[in-house]
Amino acid sequence: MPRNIWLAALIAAMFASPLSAFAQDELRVVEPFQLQRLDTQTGGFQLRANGVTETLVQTNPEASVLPALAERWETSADGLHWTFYLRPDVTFHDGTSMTPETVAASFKALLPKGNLIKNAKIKDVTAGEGTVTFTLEQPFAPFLAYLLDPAVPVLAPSSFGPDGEVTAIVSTGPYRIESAELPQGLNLVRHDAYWGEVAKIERVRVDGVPNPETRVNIALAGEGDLVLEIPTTAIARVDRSGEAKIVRAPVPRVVMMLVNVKKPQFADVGIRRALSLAVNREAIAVTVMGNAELAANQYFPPAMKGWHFDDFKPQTFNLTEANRILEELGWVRGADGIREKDGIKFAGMMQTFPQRAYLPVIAEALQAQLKEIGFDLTIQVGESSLIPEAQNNGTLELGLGIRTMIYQVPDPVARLTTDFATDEPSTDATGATGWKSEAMREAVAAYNRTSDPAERLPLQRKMAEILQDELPVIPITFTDEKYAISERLEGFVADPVMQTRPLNHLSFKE
Amino acid sequence: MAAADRRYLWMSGVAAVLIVSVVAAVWHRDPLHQDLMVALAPPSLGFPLGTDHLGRDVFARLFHALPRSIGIATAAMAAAAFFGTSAGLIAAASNRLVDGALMRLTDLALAFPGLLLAMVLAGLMGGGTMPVLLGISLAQWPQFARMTRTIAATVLTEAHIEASRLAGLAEWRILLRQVMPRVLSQTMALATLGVGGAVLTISSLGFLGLGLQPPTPEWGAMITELLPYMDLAKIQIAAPCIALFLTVLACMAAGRRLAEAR
Amino acid sequence: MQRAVRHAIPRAVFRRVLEAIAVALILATICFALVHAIPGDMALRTAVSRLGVENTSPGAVEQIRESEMLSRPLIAQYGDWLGAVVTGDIGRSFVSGRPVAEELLGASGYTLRLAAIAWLLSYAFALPLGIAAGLAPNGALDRATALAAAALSSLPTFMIGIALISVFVLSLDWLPPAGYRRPEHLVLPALTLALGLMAPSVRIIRNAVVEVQDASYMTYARIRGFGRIKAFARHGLRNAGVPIVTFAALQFAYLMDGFFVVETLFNYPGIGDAMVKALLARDVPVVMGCALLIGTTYAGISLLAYLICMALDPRLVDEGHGSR
Repeated sequence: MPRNIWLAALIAAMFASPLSAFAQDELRVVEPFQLQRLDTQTGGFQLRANGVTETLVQTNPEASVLPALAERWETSADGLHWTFYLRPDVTFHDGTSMTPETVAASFKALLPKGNLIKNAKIKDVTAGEGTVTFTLEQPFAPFLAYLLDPAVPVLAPSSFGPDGEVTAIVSTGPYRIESAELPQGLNLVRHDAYWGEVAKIERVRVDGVPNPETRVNIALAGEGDLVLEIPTTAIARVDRSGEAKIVRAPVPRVVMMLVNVKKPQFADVGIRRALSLAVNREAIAVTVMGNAELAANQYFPPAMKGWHFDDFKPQTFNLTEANRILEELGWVRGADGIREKDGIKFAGMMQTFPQRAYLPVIAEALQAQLKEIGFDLTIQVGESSLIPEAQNNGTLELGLGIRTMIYQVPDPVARLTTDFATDEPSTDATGATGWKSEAMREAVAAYNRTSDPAERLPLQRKMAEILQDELPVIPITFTDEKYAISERLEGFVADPVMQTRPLNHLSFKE
Repeated sequence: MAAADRRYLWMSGVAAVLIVSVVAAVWHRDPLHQDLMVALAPPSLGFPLGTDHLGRDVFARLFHALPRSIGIATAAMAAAAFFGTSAGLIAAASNRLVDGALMRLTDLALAFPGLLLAMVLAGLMGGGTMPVLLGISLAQWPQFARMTRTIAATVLTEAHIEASRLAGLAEWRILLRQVMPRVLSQTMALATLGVGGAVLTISSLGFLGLGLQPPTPEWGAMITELLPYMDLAKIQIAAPCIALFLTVLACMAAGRRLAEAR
Repeated sequence: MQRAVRHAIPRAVFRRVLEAIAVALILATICFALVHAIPGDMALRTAVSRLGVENTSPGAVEQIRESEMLSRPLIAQYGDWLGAVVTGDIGRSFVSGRPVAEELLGASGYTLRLAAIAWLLSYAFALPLGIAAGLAPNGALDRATALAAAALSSLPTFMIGIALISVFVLSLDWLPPAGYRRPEHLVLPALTLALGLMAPSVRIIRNAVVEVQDASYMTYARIRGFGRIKAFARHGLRNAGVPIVTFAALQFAYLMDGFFVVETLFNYPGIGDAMVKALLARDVPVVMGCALLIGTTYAGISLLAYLICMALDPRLVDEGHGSR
C-alpha cells in the first residue's frame, strides 16, 4: 500500500512546479534567440527589443534617432562634449525615480561592457542639473547612433550588486521582467508608471525557439501571437492556417560569399568579378528566398538610402563575360572541365553553417552555378565559429555568411569598420579575409569626423564603390523578415532595421 | 536456419544492393544536376518522383543515397565489429585484472549515446563522412566486445579447449582457431542489425543538419530539406521516408534471421 | 541462502557505488580531453555561444579568455576542476555564468519528467502486449506485435515525431506543437519516445515469457492443475522479470539519443540539448558536469536494475558477487 502512495506522490511531483503559472490572455512572443544570461552584454539586444531596457535615445522604423529618456541634447563646438537633457518624472521598474546621478552611475558601470560604444572612446560621464554630459577623447560624429549599443542601457541602482556586477535588470521600459527561465524564456509584466505610452497588454511571455520549423508549427497551431523569422517556405502555410497572417519587411542583411584574397586562385580582382558574374542571383532569390527583388547586385540593399546606388554597374548574371575574363587571365579548362593555371586548381572549399537554414541551400546552388565556369566548389557545413577561426589562421578559402549592416547600432559604419577597416582578428563569419584597403580606412575615418549629411554622402558612396569594385566579399542575396501575427493581435508595425517590437502599442482585438 | 538458407539471405541482400546500384548508374539523370527553373516539379516521366527545392531529380538522389548510406554504415560497423571483437577476445583470454578493466571500459562506452557522440564530432570537426563513421563505430564497439566476451568465456570452459591447451597449443591459436568461428556468426548477425541502426543514425544526423556534406544525396537530409515544402512536395518527402524505412527493416530482418540461425 | 543474500547485497552495492564514481570521473576526464583535443579557439567558441553569430568582438573573446583563465596549462585547469569537485563544487558555466549544478538540475528535472512518463507509457503498452504475445507464441497477436515492433524500430525518432506532429497538431489540432509549461506539452514528446522504446521491449518481454513458459517448473505447475495464465502469474512472472529489467536499464542510451531529437523537434529544454550545446560551445564546466551526471545516472540505473533482479531471483546473488 505505501508503495502506491509513493508512486502517486512521484507522479504528482512530476506535474507540479513550473507547469502551473500560465495565463491565456498573455502576449506570446516567439523569437529565434535563446537568452543565455540576464546581463546586458549577452542579452542586451533581446531585452531592448522586447521593451525592457531603454537608453537616452531611441529609433523609429526608419532608423532615425529620436529622444527617449533624454528630451533633447547638444554638442559643444569642439565636438568633445555631448550634453543630454533628461526627461523628468521617469520611474524605474522598482518605483525609484531616474536622476542625473543614477544615469551617470549606470553608464559608468556599463560602459566597460559595451560592444560597439567603445569606438566612441568616452572619457567621462558627469551628472549636472537635470543633465548628463559625456566627454570624449576625440570628436566622434556618429555618437548618438553608438549610444544605442544595447549592452549599455540605463539601469536603476538596484540592478547592481555590491561589487558593481549586474544582478538584475531594472530599467525604464514599458515592460519589466517578472521572472526568467533561462535559456527558454522570459515572463514580462507591464510597467504601469512608464513615461510613454503604457502597454495595453498586461503580461508578455517571450520564448526562444531556435528551430525554424518548430516556430512555424507554433504559428500554425495559433500558439504564438508574434512569431519572428518565419522561413520563406512556410509563408503560404501560415497564411492559409487561419490562425495567423504574415507581415514581410525588408531587412538590411546581405548573404555573401567570403573570399580569402590571399589564396592564389582568388587574388586577382578579375577572378572575383568572374565568380560574381557566374552567380545567377535572380534564380537564387526566387527559389530560395521567394522574392526576385532580393537579388543582391551590390553590397547595400535598395532600402538603404545613401548607401545603395542605382547607377552602379550591376553584377548581372553573364556566363560568357565570366568565361572570357578567365580565359584572358590564363585559366584553362582541364579534361574534367575544371580550370587550372600554373598548377593551381580553380577550386575552393566553402564553409557555412546551418543556423540559417537557407545558407546550405544557397551554397548548393552556388556549387552548381560556379561549375559552369569551371570552378570546383566543395561545401562544409559546421559551427559558425569555424569561419572566423579559419579567417584568422588563413586557412579559409571561401565562406558563406550573413551580415546585418545595421545591427544594434543604427549606423552602417559600425559594422563596416569591424568588417573592412580593422587589423583586429575576425570573430564573426562576416567581412573581408586577407583584404586591406587604405582608401576604405580613410573613408571610414573621415566619416567618423563629420555629422554633416552633405559631407557624408560622398564618403558613403566611396565606401560602397570600393566594395563594388574590389569585391572583398561577393554579395548574393538580401533577406527579408517574416513575422507571423496572430489573428487576435492588432497594432503591429515591423521595425526591420533595429528589430525592436513596440510591444506597448499592441492590443488584442475585442 | 540451414546454411543454404543463410546463403540465400546473403545473396538476396547483395542482389538488392546491386540492382539499386545498377538502376542508379543507368538512370540518365545526375543527382547533383540543378535546374532552379523546375524546382519542386511534381512526378512526371522525366522525373519519376518529381524534383526537389533546387530542381534536382529526387529519383536519382534516392538511388544514389542508398549505396552511400549502406557503405558508410557497413564500414562503421566493420570497424566497430573488428575493435569490439578484438577487445572481447583479449578480455576473455586475459587475467582478471585486464578483463575487469576492459569490461568496465565497455560499460563506460555503452553509457555514452551514439548519436550524441557523432553529432558532437560532426559539429566540432565540420561535418563530412569521417565524423559520422567515427561516431557510429565509437558508439557501437562495446556491444561486440560484450557479446564476444560472453561467448568466448563459455567456449573457453569447454572440454576440447582444455584438451588443446594440454596439447600445447598457444592461447592465441586457440582463440583464433576455436573461439573465433563461434564468435563470428553472432558477430555477423549483430553487425547486420547494426547496419540498420547505423543507417538510422546517419539519417538522424542528416535531419539535424550535421550529417554528410551537401550536396551529397542522403535520405535524412533529403527529408529535412523538403520538410518546409510539405504542401508542395508530399511525394518527394514520402519517397526517402519509405526508402529509409524499407532499408532499415531489411537490415533488421536479415540480422534477426542470422542471429536465430545458430 | 537468505544469509548469503543479506551479506552479498550491501557488499555489491558498495562496490557498485565506488564503480559509479570511478566511471563518472573517467567519463568526465575523457570529455575534458576530447574538448581540448579538437583544434580551435576555446575562447572564441564560448564568446560566439554567448554573444551570437554576428555580435562577437575581439575584446569580448579576450575578456573570456582572461576571466575563465583559459591560457593556463591544461593540467592546472584539470587539477583545479578535480580539486573543486572533491569539495562538491562543479563550477560555473562559461556561457551562462550560472553554477553548473543549478543548470543541470534544471535541465535534468525536465528530462527526468519526460523520461519517466515516456518510460512508463512504453511499458504500459509493452507489458500487456508482450505478455499476451508470449503466452500464445506464433498466434495472431504475436505475429502482429512482431510486425509492428519491426516497423517501429526501423523508423528514426524524428520521423515518428514528425508523423505525430502532422496528425495531432496540424491535422486534428488536439495538442500544442512545442513547449514545456503545460502538461499537454509533454504528451507528444513522451509518445514519440515511448513508441521508440516500446518496439524492442515488446519483443524482449515476449521472448522472456516464452522462455519461462517452456521451463520445467511451469510444466510442473501446470501438471499440478494450475491454468495457463494462473501458472504464469504464480511462477512465471518473477522469472521472466529478470531479463526484462536488465533490458530496461540498457534502454538508457537509446533514451539519451532520443532526447536530443525530441528536444529539438518540440523545443523542450533538457539534458541532451544542454550537453550538445555545451560541447559545441566548448563550455568545459558544463560538459564535464554532464559527463558526471550521465555516468552516475547510468551506474545508478544499472544498480537499481541489479537490486530489482536480486529481489526477483535471489539465486543470482551467488553468481559473481554482483558483476554482470
